[in-house]
Amino acid sequence: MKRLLLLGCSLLATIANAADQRPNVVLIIAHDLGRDWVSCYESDHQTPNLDRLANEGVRYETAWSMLDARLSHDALLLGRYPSRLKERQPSLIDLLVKAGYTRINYEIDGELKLTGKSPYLLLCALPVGIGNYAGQVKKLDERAGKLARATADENTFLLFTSTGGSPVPGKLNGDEQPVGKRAKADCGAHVPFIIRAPFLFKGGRVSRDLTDFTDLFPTLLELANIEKPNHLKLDGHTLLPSLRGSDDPFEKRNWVVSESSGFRMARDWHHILDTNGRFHDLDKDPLQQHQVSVQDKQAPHRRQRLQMILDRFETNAEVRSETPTP
Amino acid sequence: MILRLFMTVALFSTASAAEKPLAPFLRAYCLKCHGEQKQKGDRRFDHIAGPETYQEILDVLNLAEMPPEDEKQPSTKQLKQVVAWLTSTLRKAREAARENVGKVVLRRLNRSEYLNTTRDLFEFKMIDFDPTTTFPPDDSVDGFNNNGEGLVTSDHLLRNYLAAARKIADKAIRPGPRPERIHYRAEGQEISGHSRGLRPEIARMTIKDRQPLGLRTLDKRKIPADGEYLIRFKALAYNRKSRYKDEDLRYNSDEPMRLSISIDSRELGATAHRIIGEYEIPDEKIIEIEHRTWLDRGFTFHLHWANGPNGSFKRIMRKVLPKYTKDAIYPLRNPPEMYIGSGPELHVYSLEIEGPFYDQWPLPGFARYFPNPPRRPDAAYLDASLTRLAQRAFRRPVTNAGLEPYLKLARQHLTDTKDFWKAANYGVRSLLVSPSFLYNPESGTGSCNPHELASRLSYFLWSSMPDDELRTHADDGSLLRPPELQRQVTRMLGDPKAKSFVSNFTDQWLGLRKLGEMPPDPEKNPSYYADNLESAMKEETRRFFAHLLAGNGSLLDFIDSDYTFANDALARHYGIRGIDGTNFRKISLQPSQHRGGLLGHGSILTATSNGVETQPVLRGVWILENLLGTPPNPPPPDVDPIEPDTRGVSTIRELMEKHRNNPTCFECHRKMDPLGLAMENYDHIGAWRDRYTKKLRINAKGEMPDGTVFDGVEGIRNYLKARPDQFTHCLTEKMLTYALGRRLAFTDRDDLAQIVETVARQNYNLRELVQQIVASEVFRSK
Repeated sequence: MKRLLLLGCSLLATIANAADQRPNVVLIIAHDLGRDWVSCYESDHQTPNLDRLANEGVRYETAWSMLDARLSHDALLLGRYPSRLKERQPSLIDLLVKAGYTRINYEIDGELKLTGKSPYLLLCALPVGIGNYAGQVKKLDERAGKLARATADENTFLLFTSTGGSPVPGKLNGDEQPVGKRAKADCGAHVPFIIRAPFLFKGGRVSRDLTDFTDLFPTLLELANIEKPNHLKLDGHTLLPSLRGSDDPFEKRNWVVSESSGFRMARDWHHILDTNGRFHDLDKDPLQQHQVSVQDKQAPHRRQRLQMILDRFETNAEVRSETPTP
Repeated sequence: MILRLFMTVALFSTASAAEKPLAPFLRAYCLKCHGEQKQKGDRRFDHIAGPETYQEILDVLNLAEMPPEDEKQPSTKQLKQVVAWLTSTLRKAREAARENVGKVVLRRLNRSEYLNTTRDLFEFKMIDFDPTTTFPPDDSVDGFNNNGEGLVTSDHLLRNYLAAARKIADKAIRPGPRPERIHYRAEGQEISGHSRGLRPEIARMTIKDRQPLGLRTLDKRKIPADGEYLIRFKALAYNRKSRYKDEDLRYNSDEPMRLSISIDSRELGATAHRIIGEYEIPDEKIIEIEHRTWLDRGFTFHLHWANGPNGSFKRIMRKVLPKYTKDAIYPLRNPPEMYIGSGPELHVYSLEIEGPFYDQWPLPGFARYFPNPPRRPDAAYLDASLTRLAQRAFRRPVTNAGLEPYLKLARQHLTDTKDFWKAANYGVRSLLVSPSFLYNPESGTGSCNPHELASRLSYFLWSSMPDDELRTHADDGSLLRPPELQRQVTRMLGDPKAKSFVSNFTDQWLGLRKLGEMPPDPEKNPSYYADNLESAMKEETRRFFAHLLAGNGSLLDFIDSDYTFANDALARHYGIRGIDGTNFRKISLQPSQHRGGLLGHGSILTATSNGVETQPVLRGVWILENLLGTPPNPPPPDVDPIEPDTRGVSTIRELMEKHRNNPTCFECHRKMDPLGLAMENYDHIGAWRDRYTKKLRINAKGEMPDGTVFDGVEGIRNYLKARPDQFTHCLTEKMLTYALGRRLAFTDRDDLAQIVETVARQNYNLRELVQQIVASEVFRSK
């Protein structure tokens, strides 16, 4: 009996230890902020706090949200493309809380209280307020900076991203951008995406790896040591190899997809194809204004491959929202 | 022709004076087959054309080859009488001829001698410099391409001499300050030729792109000046063992990755591509490598993945990649980001070249002839310099009068152009196209003078000009003293330049230059190519010769030995276990391995096959010609070679039985066929076999015309071992032909016999053979 008790105690201790080591999770999700307003993405609008964060983490050059805020939230927290959400399934938050994460709420402009309970989960939506857009982005940058500073400890995973393109066009590399918000084009989904996780990798890196919003779910399951429930279906791919700087493309994504109701687009590192048949070379034509040259011998094959990816989705699948906007 | 006429007259006049036992002998035993009615073997003795025929009759009688067994035989007494008469008559004729007729053959340098001579004259590093590539090939006479008879000169060759002289002079004349150093460096993707990668700090060679890596600046500007350069690079072997199966990539993941450096020149074409170094690259760890090498102007260098995936990248992209990822499409144009990094790769982080570095400037080959050039060099300095060069280039003392035409040309050029170095260049060129440079210094008859002897000696042992020491001994005449001559031979054989003798003589004596003319089918003989057996085989034979030449043993080891030289691949080919590593070494042999002596060398066995099957007739001829010294007559012109009609025939032996039914063929084939068939246990690339097919055993029995019966290659070895002097005679004849650079005349017989006798007394030592050849009267006289 005594021995059993001892055994029980040590078991408990192990679990507690394992739990202690799991990283805190901080998700900062801006609303409708495209890359064209973030200076570390070559915008002329200064966001010093986000730049600092990028310097401490990995900045993804190519990350895709969905095409509106609501769908982006779904993809991020349910780990599936919205068109594939047929039945109710537990959200990332549910699973983390169930696994012992403490959820912390954060009020805009309020004091940030990090209780002693670890690991914690902090989900923070940062809408761009009404008024002068540039000024609002500046405010958003400051808030994000404040959050980043407050959660800057070794064992914390922090993601900063946005749910979609900007409603007010900004500039990238000095070039005027179109309105990104709800645009059925790359600029509608191509968002800032910065991850800081000092326990995983050293900061200051820029990654050309592809990622979209379905990837966060499997990444956090792996980090929080949670086994994927059998019935749970996920579309994304863990980002850990990419975050650790692996060179092996087979451990990473080679396409990403973004959706809105009745519309879908897919891209790789260079080309984009959507369900309306629009196909562009984003290296030469980032604003998708020109036909791909008929002399480009690679393009037809790239298009064929992206078509193969799009064909894996049901056509005209209904897209509906499952989670309330946090 | 004059010689021959004279000899005939001399012979018959001598003969008429003596009692003539030959004519009745010929009538009784020979003319039935070699007379008016029949001319077997193309021989007719009722009317004798010249002394060579008498020599031939003497030879066959001595060897008891004739009359044939099944014909009437002369008595021993008759035989002795005729042989004695023939021997003495021929000797008298020879003595008479030697006194009266010289046999000097004017001999120019052949291509390799020309190349070696320019190398030694100007102390060039000849690694990538070869001004003779466009020279027409030199003809061989009696199997050797240094024979004066074959070394004719043509208008085409003369033009080539002019062009070569220009190249050499441009290279040799390098006045002025030390060339400026270059230092080109590229990091990561600045390196040219790499696969489009994701990380700018790495130039990669991947499963798809394995193009050589290089330096853009160097590719454009090329090496600016001949000299010593330093190539430095950092590399890493990435993902050596990957998810891809070796057979999919046609790659061996068990081997460490290897990176090789090549020297190449686009202008000179594919032939100017040479691997100068190969390095093992450690897994997942950056290694920094420095390679020092001599590079010639106009060249550039590249890095290659020596043991990377093989075959077309299209196959890998189309067939292999889709097997491993469902996101790849069948055509090859998947985005590179999808596969770069997925398989084994060779990563290069930086690449640089620095140089040229010189131990000495001006270069020794220039400073020697143009020492301390004055600030304003004048005609007097030009004369002095060209005279210095001519003294060496002509390999004999030169007189002012003899040199005057060349000096005059150069001085005239100096007056015309006012450019001293142009004039010097012009003068050097004129010396290099002079007959005194292109031809060996032999004139008149009688004994060689010391310079002629020095030249003979150095072209014999080095295929090049005499060096300073040899020249000094020629200048003071001491070379004529036998002990000094012997000392020089010993010294020269110890010099690395003696390699030329080993390779030129061995290759030509044994017909190894035929290797590669009829290469085996790559599909059926993959290891022949994968292991580079052809060059390994050649190397074995050369090493064997070099080993004996170093004074290590008897030349009878060529017939049979309990050792040979091999690397891992060759040993594997021979079925010998336990030899690791690509370096050649001496290995001991068991009789059961069937490899003793030349007859077991893959080089010879392959050279006497046609790439598909063995050719017993060729092998028989090869033994007769190169080991026994009794070459068969060429097939008569009116006989077609037997077409390989294989109907109802299961082995080559049965096919060759057909020779037996035709007496014209049988006459000669009875000598060569048994020898060739006894070697049937070696296949067309020299591997040992006991049967042709599962059911068909090899019958290697044979009977020689003299009644010797043998079974297999051991029988031939014993047959040869029983005739050590005949083999020695054959080898001596070949080597003497090579040493003299002319066809042997029958007047050389006595010297030949004497050399053989002496060498036999010296335990058949090969080194002694060389010494005896050099010491012989015939080598020391013209």
